[in-house]
Amino acid sequence: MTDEEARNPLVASEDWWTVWFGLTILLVATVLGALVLAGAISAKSVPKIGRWASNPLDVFYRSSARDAELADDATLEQVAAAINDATSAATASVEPTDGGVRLRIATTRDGAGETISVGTLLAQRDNAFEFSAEQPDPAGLGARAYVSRAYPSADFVIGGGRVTVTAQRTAGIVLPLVVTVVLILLLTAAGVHVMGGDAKKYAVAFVAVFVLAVLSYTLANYPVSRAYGIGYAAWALALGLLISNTIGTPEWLMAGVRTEMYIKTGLVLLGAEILFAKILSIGVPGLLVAWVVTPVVLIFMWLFGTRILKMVSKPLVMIIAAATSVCGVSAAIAVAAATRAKKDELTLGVGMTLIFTVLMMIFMPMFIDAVGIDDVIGGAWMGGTIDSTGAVVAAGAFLGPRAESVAAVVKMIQNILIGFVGFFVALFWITSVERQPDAPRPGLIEIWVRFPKFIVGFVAASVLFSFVFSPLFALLFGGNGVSLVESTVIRPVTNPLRGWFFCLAFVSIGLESNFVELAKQMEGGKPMLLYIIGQSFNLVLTLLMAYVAFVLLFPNAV
Amino acid sequence: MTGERISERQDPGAKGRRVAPGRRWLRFALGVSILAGFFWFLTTRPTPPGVAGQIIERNLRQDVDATALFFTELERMPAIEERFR
Repeated sequence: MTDEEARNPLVASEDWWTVWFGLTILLVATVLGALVLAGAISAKSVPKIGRWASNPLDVFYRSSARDAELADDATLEQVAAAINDATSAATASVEPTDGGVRLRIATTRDGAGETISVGTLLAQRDNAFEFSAEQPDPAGLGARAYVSRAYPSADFVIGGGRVTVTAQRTAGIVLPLVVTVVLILLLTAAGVHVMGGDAKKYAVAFVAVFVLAVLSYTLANYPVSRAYGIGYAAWALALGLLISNTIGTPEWLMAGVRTEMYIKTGLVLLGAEILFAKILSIGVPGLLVAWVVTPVVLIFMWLFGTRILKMVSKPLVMIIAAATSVCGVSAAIAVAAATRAKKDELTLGVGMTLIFTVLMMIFMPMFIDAVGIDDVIGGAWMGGTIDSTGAVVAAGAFLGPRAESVAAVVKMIQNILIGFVGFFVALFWITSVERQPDAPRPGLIEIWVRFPKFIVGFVAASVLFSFVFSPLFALLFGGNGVSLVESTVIRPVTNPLRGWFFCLAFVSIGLESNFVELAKQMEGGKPMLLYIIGQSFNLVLTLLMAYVAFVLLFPNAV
Repeated sequence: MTGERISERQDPGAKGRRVAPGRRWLRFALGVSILAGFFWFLTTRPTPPGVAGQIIERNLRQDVDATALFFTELERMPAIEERFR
């Protein structure tokens, strides 16, 4: 028995350490959230890289978006009132102009460079409510004020939907970002040290990997990149691949390339975002679309990939199947960790998902619009098939508020499946895929020993936040416990931290991946064929289920 | 996950072959140029024709973040959930 094996796995294995990292962060965030609600401290949040409004340095400032929800028969006057109620960053007024009146929305901030941007999403599509920017910034993405076209009177009915006012550059994030880096570093370096690694080398390399992560987020937050759905995962992979496939990843940097540690810690944090009460509150039709189709497509793609295409890499088949049927990149990394996939397999699976997501975000609303499919069915269809949530909502919003809501909710329910999929895939891997043909079925102890422990952390986080912290917050502070936990713990702290861990993971994956190995994984185009066949099956089945759920069974659901 | 450590390779881009340092930096410069070229292309705000272009234009005007990986990353998700209840 080696020294490593002789040590207690609870402190020796990286798998367990990711559970401790994740749960420590979640418990500290929960205590902070409770203190905020008790009024003992002011609200704290982990910084996210901001929007790129006029130059790259904008990303080191926060921005804040507020929605003004409009009733179905909202008049111009009521729109102004709704905006004034929704945000203090801008004032809205109805002013006389040539040929009638116009709505003017102006920033209330006087500081140089502080601008707002205004967007609308109306049931009658955008052309019913046109805005132009006054004194726009050089990039044209923010302005001191916006004015609408002229309308006959203040009583003119605009219709239902919403107006979003985004205040740009509200506060700097450099110092909070440095604090975040230091805290993550201290936590993870302690683990690296106990696991027997060189904490000093790790610290130096970690900072370099983090800088690459900041650069990835910065590129991803360029508005055109955001509009096309090219997010931090794509930029992080690209930057990592650029280094590893040209000059080669330097030896000193490899000390900070800890893909599994970042992914698994991020996944434990993700567990806290899966709140079971949400499933019950949003109705059956979405559940039918998301939960009936997903396992069917997953199993179909697994069988197709392994039995028909006879793909050599089983983890790659499962990664592509999970990404297609569940929720794209998040599901891909969860399944990759559960199946102990190679970095190159994950890179290929994620790369394909990212490309097809952009294509589907553009072509699905086009098709739905051209064919004239009902917006609710169209929304459910896109929610169940487009891989990433951001692209789903962007595609849904193009068809209108109803399609956006249905698409987002169906995707959300599908997102929640990630825990179940990760758990059962890990179990399936141990009991079936990794088992030798003539070996007996593994017993419970063997399953436990080989079971990926980060999934235990993931499930524990989800159960804790769903059944302990949410009810506890409701009891202590009154109101909806789920909303309280989301607004004080998840959105401000654990969610952005999870984003940082995932971004570090994608930089690391890129730094460890290699084009030659990637080319080998292509197996003559079989992964691509698997994705296309599986996604086609997904499209047909989801459309059918959307029709059954929202037309035949629950026609008045939305 | 498992995988070969890049540092063990003689040539990260083509395993098993030695490549002169100058050539590696040349490759790096080429890679940076490709990424920079792609980013420059994005700065021209390219929009495909027809409805596809309208979707991208709309995302730009509305400052829509189409990159969110998970529903909790969407700023307006609480409002959407509320509307659906």
